Order: sequence, then structure tokens, then C-alpha cells
Amino acid sequence: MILKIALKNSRKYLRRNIIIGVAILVTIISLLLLDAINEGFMQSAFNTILKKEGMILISPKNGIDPFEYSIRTIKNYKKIEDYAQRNIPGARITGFINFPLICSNDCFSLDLLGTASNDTIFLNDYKRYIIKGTIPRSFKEAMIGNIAARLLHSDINDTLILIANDRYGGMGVAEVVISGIFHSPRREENQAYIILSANIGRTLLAWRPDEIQQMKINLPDYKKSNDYAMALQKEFTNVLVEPYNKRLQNLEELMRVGNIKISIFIIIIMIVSAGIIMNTVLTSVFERKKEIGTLRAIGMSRMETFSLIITEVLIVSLISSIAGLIISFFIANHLMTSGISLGNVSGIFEYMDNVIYPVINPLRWTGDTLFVIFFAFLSSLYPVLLISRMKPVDALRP
Amino acid sequence: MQRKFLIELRNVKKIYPLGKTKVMALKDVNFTIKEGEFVTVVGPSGSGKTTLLNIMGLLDHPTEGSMFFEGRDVTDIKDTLSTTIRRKRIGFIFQTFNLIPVLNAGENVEIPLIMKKLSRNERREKIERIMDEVGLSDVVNHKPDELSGGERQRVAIARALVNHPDIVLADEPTANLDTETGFQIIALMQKLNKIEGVTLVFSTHDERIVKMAKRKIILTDGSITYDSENSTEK
Repeated sequence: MILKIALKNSRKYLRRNIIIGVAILVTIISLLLLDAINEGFMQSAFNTILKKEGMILISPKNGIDPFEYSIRTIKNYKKIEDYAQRNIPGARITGFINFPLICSNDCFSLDLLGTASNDTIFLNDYKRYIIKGTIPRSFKEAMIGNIAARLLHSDINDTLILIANDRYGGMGVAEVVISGIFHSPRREENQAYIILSANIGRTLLAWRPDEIQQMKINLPDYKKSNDYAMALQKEFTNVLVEPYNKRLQNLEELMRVGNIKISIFIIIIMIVSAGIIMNTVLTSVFERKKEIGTLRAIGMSRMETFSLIITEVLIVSLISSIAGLIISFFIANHLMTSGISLGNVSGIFEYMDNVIYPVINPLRWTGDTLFVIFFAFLSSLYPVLLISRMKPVDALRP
Repeated sequence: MQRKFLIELRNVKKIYPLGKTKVMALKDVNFTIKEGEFVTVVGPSGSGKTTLLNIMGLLDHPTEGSMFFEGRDVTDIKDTLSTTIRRKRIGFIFQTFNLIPVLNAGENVEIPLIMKKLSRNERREKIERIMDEVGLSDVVNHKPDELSGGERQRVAIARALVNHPDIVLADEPTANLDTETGFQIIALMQKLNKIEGVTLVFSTHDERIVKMAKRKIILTDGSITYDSENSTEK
């Protein structure tokens, strides 16, 4: 009987139930989507770490200052490279120099490169050598087209300077060795990389051969990264050696901050929704005071009255939650294909994908749905308790 | 044979707070209702009729005095117990019918039977019988807003009687009906009083309807000023 009356009332007070339903719908969609995005972000971040498994990052002792060009660099990187190659089996070593954001007349900045024109006297001498090259197979070696090779006056085994745009507004620079020259009637158009001949590149960058800003050593077995990092640190005290687990801690900190922000956002949504649900249920039960008083008078207990009203709320919650679940699934599914661009946010964690793809975790989504239903129950608890505990004579009074 | 006392009120007072003052709705009310009686409580608006019926129906507690139901003191019983007594022993008829708008006539009558946990077949049988008795067999599936005032009150009567309560309390059951329909309703209640043997107490201020009752209690400013059983006017 309770279910029957509740179902019929749900239909009768449709407009009011729609308000409750929308509040629940907004809550569940926010919760599920943020959950899926968070899950995607975490997986993306951890995948980044795992892809770089065993990564050891070597930086100048006091870190890199993007405003102080050439000051904080690893000056003996060749020694570190030799040491790593000798002592760490299977190590893949990459060296990086980051472009300075501000530089004086004797160096070359990202802005100058971007705005170079025929009027830029300083660049005119070198501009013709800046060739759009192909994507190298690794940072250590590159395949370039025959036209590029001719223009760079370069041949196989010559060294080139690779300038690569990175996704967070800076530029990475690496030395690469030409591993092959392919013949192609057309120029490969790739905006991401610029290749310069080594001499010109070094001049442009005021970059000495044994100078680099950061080094990355990738190991085949990440479990040994700690041991190798300690050995490297012991050997080279003038640099900062950070193993994989240190990076993981940073990531976890990033996750923690992200989760706090998401939680605050969800809490705000939930407070607003709870207010809407409570207010609507309160209005609804007090409008139906006489009906509830009648049921109490003819023998309905407080518990049955409570069950009747709460069942009505739960019916609306259930319908809204299922609708929210379906809508969220379609939105998440779309985002899983298109991805969400993080823009510069990904720069917080180096080499992380700048597009993240939401991940639906069925267990968490089920938990979220049940939580939202429970949340609707809690939000309506006060008015429902108020009316069910009211004396029948008071409920019957106009 | 001596009939049992069903309800007994002893020195019942009811005081309502009204802002900083207090209003005495009932003053030292004493009377008894026996099984099978057909009693009318008469009095002008504000005389305390509804308060008296609420206390008799265990919807409210007296501020002072005692009330007995079949000899048992029910003055300050807990809500769960008063709910059980109302569910099993008392039927209510209201001035504004108070039918559940989303349920049809049959379903409204069915509520007390469901509360009593009767089987579907038993419920169907009882609904058919009572709807037939109140002359509403044709409108069982009609919603309250599809029924006339008289029909709605008949449904309310059927709902009050379907469980065979010991007593039915009707608070101005004819107030929202035209005179002719009001007479029909009281006649129906009289008939059911005779057939079912149910005790009926109803309040009214319509003198023509009062004449149809066997026993008349007059309430003035919260006090009983006349009880035909005692035949004494105070």
C-alpha cells in the first residue's frame, strides 16, 4: 500500500518531484563525471610514471631556474653519461636544455625564434638553416630528409641540435646524431621539431658541448631505480638525483590536491542540492499535512508514515539516479573518445599526456549512485521526520 | 442485558495555549458511551466538539482528567498503542471527507484492511460488501474528485466501517453537504448502527439532524450543558 500510494503521489506531484529529480540529477552527473575524469587523470598520470619506469631525473643541485640562462646547468654531464652507460645496464640516457624565458643579446630565446623575420638581423645569418625535419626515433638519433641534409651541410653520423616544442610553453633542446638520410621529393612538414646543425645550434643557444640542464636515465627495471639513484648521487654530489619513487610522491601530492579541489566542488553542489531537496520535500509534506493526518488517524503508524514519504523521495531518487547514470555514461563515453585537453596543467607533471581520457570504474559508479540515493534520503530526512512525528491532531488541523 | 461502557471521560479538561494566554476548550467533561449507542454532540462553533471527538478518538490527550476505553485507562498511552487502538477499534469520518486523492474509492476503503494485514481476497470481499451497503458499488474505481460530496462522504463512511470498529467518530459529517444529502448520510449511519451494531458518535450543529439521534449531548463553551441520557439541563 505504501508503495502504491508513493507511486501515485510521485505522479501527482510531478512538478515538485521534477525539482527534486533535477537536483539529484545534477549531483549524480557531477559526481560520476568528476569521478571518471579523476580516474582518467590518475591512470594517465600513473601510466606516465610507469612508461618512464625506472626513471631517474638528474638536475642541477639547486634546480632549474628558467629566468637564469646558463647559470644552473649540469656542467659535467658527459661524465655522468659515461658513468651511467658503464654501470647501469640497459640505461637510456637523454640530456635536455630548456630554453630560457628571458635572455640577453648573446643567446637565443623562444620569442625570437617565433618572431624571426628577414628584418631580424641577428637571425638572418642562420635562418636558412632552420629546417622543418622529421620526427626522430629517439632523442639520440634522427632521420632527416635529403633536402634538409643538404641545407644543413650534414651527413650520416653528424650531430644536429633538435629543438622541440613542449606542451607547456617551453622548448626542449637535445643533441641528435643523424642515423640516416632518406630521399624524398617533398619536405616533411612537422611543426613540432626544428633541427639545426650542431655548430649553428650551439652558437644560437650559447651552449657549450659539455653543458646540459637536465638528464633522464631510463632503466629497464624500475625497482632498481632507488639503488642506482643513490649510487649516482654518491658519485656526483654537485647534482640532484631524483629516482622514480620521488616522482611518484610528487604525483601523489598532485593527486591529493586535485582530489581536495574536486571534493570541495562536489560538496558545494551537494549542499545546494540538499537545500533544494529539503525545501521541496518540506513544502510538499506540509501541503499534504491533512492527507498524512488522515492516514495517521485511521491507524497508520509513525514508521509507516515515515516509510510512505521516504519511499516517494526514494522513487524520485532512483529514477533520477538511473537517468543521471545513463546521461553520465553517454557524456563520459564521448569524452573517452575525444579526450579532455588539460592545456598547461599537464606541465605540472613533466611528460604527462596533455589530453586525458575519462575512465569509467563500474564499482565506483555503483557506489556513487548508491551514495546519491542515500544523500537524497538524508536531505529529506528532516521534513519527513517532522511530519511523521507530528501528532495526528496537529496534522489534521488546517 | 446491561451494555458495556465503551468510552468513559472523567473530569476531562483540555487547555490550548494561544500566544501568552490559554484557552480552555473542554471543562470538566464527564460522560460515558455504551456499546451500540447512536450519540450526537451538539454545540455551536468553538464549543469544543472537535476537541472532544479528538480526545475520544485518541488523536489527542486531555490536559487534565482521565479517559477510559473499555475500562482501560488510555489517558496518557503511548503513540504506538493509541495507533493500534485507532487502527483496530475506531473509525473516523471527517467533515471534509479526507479521502486520499490519488486512490480510487475502493482503494481508499481498502487502506484500513491493508493495515489490518488481511489477504487480498478478504479485502476484496469486504470492500464489495461495504460499498454495496453504502450504495456505491458502481463507483468503486472512481477517484474522489470524480465523486459528488455525498458519494465522497459515503466512501469515508465505508472506510470507517469496513474494519468493523467498536466505535465510529464523525466530526460534523454533514457540514459540507446539502440538507437532503446530509439526511441521507445520517440515515445511512443510523442503518449501519442498527445492522452492524457499531457505536456512532457524531458532532453537528444542525438541529434537524440532531432529532434523528437517540442520545443528544449539548456542549457549550467546553462544558456539557445537556445529556439526554441523564435528561438534565445544566
